[in-house]
Amino acid sequence: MRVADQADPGYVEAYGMLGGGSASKSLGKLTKIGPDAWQSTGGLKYVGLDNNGLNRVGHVMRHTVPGGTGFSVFSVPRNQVIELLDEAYLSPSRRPVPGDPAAFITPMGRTIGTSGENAVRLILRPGTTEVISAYPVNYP
Amino acid sequence: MKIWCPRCNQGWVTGAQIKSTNERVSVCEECEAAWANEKSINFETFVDMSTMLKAKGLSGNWSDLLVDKEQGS
Repeated sequence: MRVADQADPGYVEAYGMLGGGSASKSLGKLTKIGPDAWQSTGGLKYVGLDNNGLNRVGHVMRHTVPGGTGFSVFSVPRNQVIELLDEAYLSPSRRPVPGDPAAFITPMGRTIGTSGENAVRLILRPGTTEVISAYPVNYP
Repeated sequence: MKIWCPRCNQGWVTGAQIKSTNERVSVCEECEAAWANEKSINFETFVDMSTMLKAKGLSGNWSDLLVDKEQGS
C-alpha cells in the first residue's frame, strides 16, 4: 500500500488527497489499496467505478460542483471533502436512516452544504465501509 | 419515463438490462439503489445493486449491465 500521490489516476490526485484540510491532520488521507481503490485514514473505502467511469472519489466529488435542481453540493473545499466524510463516519452522532441499513446521516453542527445543509448522508455498500455516495443534507 | 431516485433524492433512476440474463432492472446512477420491477420504484422496495447482482452470481458492478442510452442524468 502507498499514500495517494500524483501517480494515481482519476480524480484522487486532482483533488489533492494528501492529508487535506486543517481541522484534523489525521483524517482525510487516502491510501491506495488496489486498482481504483483507496482507503481513508478514517476507515472508509472508495472502491470501483460508477456508471460514467469515475472512481468513487470522483463520484463523490461531483457533489462539489453544482449539478442542477435537487443535487446537493458541499460548501467545503474539495481537498477537505474526504476529511469531512471521515469525520461524519467516525462521529458518535452518526445514525442509520430508518428503513435503509446502508445509509447514515451525521449532523455536523455547522453548515457543510451550499444550500445551508448541516449534515452528511453517507451511502455505503451493505455490510462494508465502501462508499457509494455521500452528500450534504438538512437535518432534522 | 425518468424517475428521480426515491432513496437518495440525488440522481435519476435509469433502465438497464443484465447482460447475462437479459432481465430488466432499474438502477439509480447516484446511490445504486436497484429495482427488479420498474413499476414498483419506491423507497420501500429498493435493493442494493451489487447485492442484487451478486445474488445472481455476477460481479456486482456496472459492467454486468447494459444501461439504456436514452435515460440517466
